[in-house]
Parts: sequence; structure tokens; C-alpha cells
Amino acid sequence: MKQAALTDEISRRRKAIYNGLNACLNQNDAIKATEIWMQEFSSKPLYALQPFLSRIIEELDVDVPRGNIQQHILNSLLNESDHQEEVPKSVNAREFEQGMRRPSQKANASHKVFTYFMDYFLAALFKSDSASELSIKVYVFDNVHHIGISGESMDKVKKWLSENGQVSLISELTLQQMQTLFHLFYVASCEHIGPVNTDKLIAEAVKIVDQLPESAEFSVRSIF
Amino acid sequence: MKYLVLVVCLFPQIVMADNAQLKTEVDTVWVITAAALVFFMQAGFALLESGMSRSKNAVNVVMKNYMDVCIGSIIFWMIGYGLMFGDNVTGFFGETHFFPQNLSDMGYSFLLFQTMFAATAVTIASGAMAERTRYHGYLLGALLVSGIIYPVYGSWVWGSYYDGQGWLAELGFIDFAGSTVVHSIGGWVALAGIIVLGPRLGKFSSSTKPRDIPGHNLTLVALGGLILWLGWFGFNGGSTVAADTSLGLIVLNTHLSAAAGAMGAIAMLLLTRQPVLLTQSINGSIGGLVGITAGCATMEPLYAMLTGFIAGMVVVAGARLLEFFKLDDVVGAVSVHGFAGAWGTMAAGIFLKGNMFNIEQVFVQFIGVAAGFLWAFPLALLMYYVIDKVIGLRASSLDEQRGLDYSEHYEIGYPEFQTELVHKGKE
Repeated sequence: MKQAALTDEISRRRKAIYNGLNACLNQNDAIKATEIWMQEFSSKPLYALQPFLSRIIEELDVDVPRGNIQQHILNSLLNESDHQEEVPKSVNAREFEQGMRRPSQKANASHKVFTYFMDYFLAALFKSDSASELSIKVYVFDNVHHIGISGESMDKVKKWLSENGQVSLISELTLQQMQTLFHLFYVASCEHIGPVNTDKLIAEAVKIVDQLPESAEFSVRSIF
Repeated sequence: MKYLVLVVCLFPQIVMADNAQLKTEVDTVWVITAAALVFFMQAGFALLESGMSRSKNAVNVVMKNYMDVCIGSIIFWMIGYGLMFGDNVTGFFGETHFFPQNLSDMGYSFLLFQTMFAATAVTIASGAMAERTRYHGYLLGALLVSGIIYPVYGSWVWGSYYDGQGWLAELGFIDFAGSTVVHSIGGWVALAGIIVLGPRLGKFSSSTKPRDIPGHNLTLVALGGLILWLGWFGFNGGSTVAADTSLGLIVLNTHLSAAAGAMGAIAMLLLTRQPVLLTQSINGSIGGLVGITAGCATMEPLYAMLTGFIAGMVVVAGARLLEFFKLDDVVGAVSVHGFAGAWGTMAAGIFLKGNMFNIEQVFVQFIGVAAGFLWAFPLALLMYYVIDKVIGLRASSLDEQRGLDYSEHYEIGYPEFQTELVHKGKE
């Protein structure tokens, strides 16, 4: 029931976002931008639009002033109604509705859920014990070979870690590799902030990640 | 007339025969009841240890306690009883009554009662080693403790039930119900176990400061403590192996010492400016019970209380000492059973009714305590070391992260919180 309510809420917001975008952009750009919002920003706070705006301006190369787009989206969000136009169905959306998901979508969901969880967990971990950040990273660097990935992928993981999640984590991790990577952080975290605090941070991160639509497909608990 | 004379002449014999039969029957009922009470202590251990562990290890802790009874009982019947109570010619171990089959009626009762003691000695280590011990390695250890370590030392003090005497018994060593025989031996085995295992993940910070890892259910801990307290009436009272009038003093001393133990623990916590914790208070009362076990039949109530009070203090101080040495005892078993047991055994000599502060007796008590440590600790250390090397004793950090319920049993104690982990099996 809770999951269904969450999905309805996101669908409603998506519609409002699309209508706001469609008021200032051409329809193609509005559809693309709405998809970006769905994939990357739908779980973020609703009115924290700046990262989303930066992303679509960069991605879609639009020449509409940023402030205008923001204004239209805000108007649309604040004046949600049943009369707003439905979001035209993209190819992906149609497949979604027909239950014709490609296998890679499952992988995308797991990657997104895992990345989001790790980003949140690590941000909270380093915030709670900034002095240990370096030693935790060093521990994971030293043990990253246990994940069982190629040298190139290992470098990507290291880069992801050293840049605090600013670059995206490699997407081809299997479930077992995700479990191993998480375990490395778990061990380091237990050593530095203790198992009780570690479990608290994990519980908080799980609570947040559970709100992602992708969590319906891939539960973050399976990496523990 | 001649029949009347015959009845008058035979009546005392008939009455005496009936009295003897009745005495045996009452003794049997009491010993079996006491055995049942001691058996019930396993429930107390299970609740206490499980409550002091995190929820992800609850099943594992209970499973260890459960199987301790099973393994301990069978191995003790097979070889433990013979080693402990068989004919003891050398004074160092029994040589008869292995796989006992044809015992006297009272012999069966005695065997049952002693079997429960063996199971108790074995299960002491489980709590100390909780949350990071592999199940099969632990069970192998339990088998060797109930089969060799416990009964051999027991034969020195309580052997033999049939013929001969243990060397400590010959010296006049007093350990009425097993402060050292059962509890300290279990405590020293636990100490060896936690040394070989090492601490749980994250228990000590890099600056060696211990971190508190609270258990998941303190209500269970309290209930477990109270069940142990109740069971102890059978543990000490049953050690008379007879339903006689000494039971009153024994059980009263047991009760007073437990109460004083909790107070001693609280006093120590206050003196050292620590918070007054439920877990430590309960451990204090169990320490009081352990402490009085040796001298419950040979002490005045006032000294029983003093013994318990000091035992409670010893429990708190002992826990701090272990943490100082970076030893991770999850439930405080080494402190409660090992240290408080050693103190109680000494107290049995110090406060011996009618012969208090007799230095010779105290020295004999010291020899008994030292012999218990020197026998059980190195042997258990070697045993756990070999088990660790051969089949593995320490669980992997991944298993520790996931919890031993999942990694060792694939059965989750609280599945509503861990739905993703149920019955997927180990990869």
C-alpha cells in the first residue's frame, strides 16, 4: 500500500514537472528533461530544483534562462490539477507499463539503488567521523581487489571513492561484488565509529533509499 | 499371644525398614526435582545470553545453549561420568563406570543430577564467545569440555562416588556445589575461548577504548537472571544429594548471597562512577550465586551475604579488567563464573563455620583454585587454538556483519526486520 502511494505521488509530481517544462521548452526537450528528473531527481526534495536545472541545461543545451524554467516548474508544482496535460509516453515508459522490461533495467535499478545508498551512507559516515575518512578510504583502497573486478574497474571504484561520489560508480557490479564492496566499508566503519553507530547510519540510509521507485525492483537489503 | 510377642519384637525393624525406604524415596524425589531445576537454568542462560547479544545473533546463542545440553548430557553419560565419579585409584581421574548401565536406584538419580551440572559447566563459555564463533567449532569445544576438561577436574574434588578419592578432596578442599568445579572451570574455558577468538568487529577502537555493544533485549536478560536464581536453589540444594534438614541453610545462604551480589555490583559501579546498569546488577547477583556455591553449606548467613557482596564487586571489577586487556566477553561470563567462582572458593575456606580464617584451609582452597585454572585454561587454550586452525572457530567478518543467525543457521530470530536474508543460503 505504502509503495503504491509513493508511486502515485511520484507520478503526480512527474506530471507537474512535465507541464512546467513544457510551458517553456519544446515538447521533446520537456519529455527528455522529465525522464532525467524521474531517473535522478525524483527521490530528492521536491523544491530543491537547482541541481536538476543545472543538469538539464547542460544535457539538453537549452537557451531558455534558468530562472524562467524554474519559475514555470514552480508554478506548475504549486498549481497541480487534474487538468494538467499527461506526460506523453516515451518508449521506456510504454515498456514499463506493458511489463516488457529489458534485463538491463533490473541492473540499472540495482546500480541506482546501490549508488544512492553508498553515497548517502558514506556522506553520513564521513560527516560523523571526518577524522577517519582518510583511513577508511585507505582500508578500502587496500582491499578493493577482494571485490573481484578488473583492474580498470578497480581504478574506477577508487576514483569514485576518492572524489566522494562526484563521479558515478561503475554500473557493471554484480550483486556479490556490491556485497563485497559494502562489506569493506562496513568493516572499516565498525573499526572507526563502532558497530552500533554503523548500524544506525545504515538504517538511516536504508530508510532514505527505500523511497526510491527503483527500490521496488531491487531492495538495498540484499547487499547486506 | 505368641503372635503379639512376634509383632512387638519385629515392629522396630519393620518401621526402620520402611523409614529407610521412605528416606531413599524422598531423597530421590528431591534430587530429581533439583536436577530439573538445574536443567531449567539452561533456559536462564539462553535468555540471558541471547538478550545480551544483538538481535542478528539471537538464534545462534540459543542454539548453542540448546545443543550444550544435548552434547553435554550424552558425552557426560558416555565418558564424563566414569572419569569424574568412577573408581579413582590415582586421585586424578575415574577409571570405571563409562557408559553406565546398571546403577543403583539412587545412582541413576545422582547421574542425572551430575549430568545437569556438566551441561551447566559447558554452557558458560557460549555467552562469552557469542556473536563471532562458528557453530561447529564451538560444538566441538563443548564436546571436549564435557568429556574431558570438566570431569577430570571434578574427579579431583568430588571423585569418587564409588571407590577412591580425588587428590584435592584428600587435601580437604571445600567446594560444596561447584564454585570452582563447575563455574570457574567454565569461566577459564570461556577466557581461553575469547583469547583465541579475539574481539568482535569494532569492539575496541584504535585507541583501545572499549565500545559498548548493547544487547537487543534487556527484559530477556532480567528474566534469564531470575530463572538462574531460581535454578540455583536446586543447584546448591540438590548437592546434598539427600532431602535433609541442612537444605534450609543452604538455600537461604544461596538466596542472600545472590541479593548481596547485586548490591555489591551496584556499590562497585557507584564507587567507580559508572552508570548503574541492569546487566551489571544481574551479573552481580549471578556472581553472588556463583560465589556462595562452594561454601553454602558451611557458612553462617552473615558471611554468605558478605561473600555475595564481594562477589558482586569482583564481577564489575573483573569486567573492567578484561576490557583493559582488550578481551571481549559478551555477557561477562569470565568475570561472573571465573573470577567470582575463584573468590567464592576462597571464601568457603575463609568463612568456614567453626574454623574461620584458618590459614591452612585457606591455602588448600588456593591450591584448588590454582589447580582448576592451571588445568582448564591452558588445555582449553590449546583446544580452541587447534579447533580454530583445523575447522575454524572465528566467524568471518562478513558472517559477523550479517549475523550468525543467517550465516550459521539460515534461520532468523527476527525475520520481520531481515526479510531479504531469510533462507537464501550461503554462497
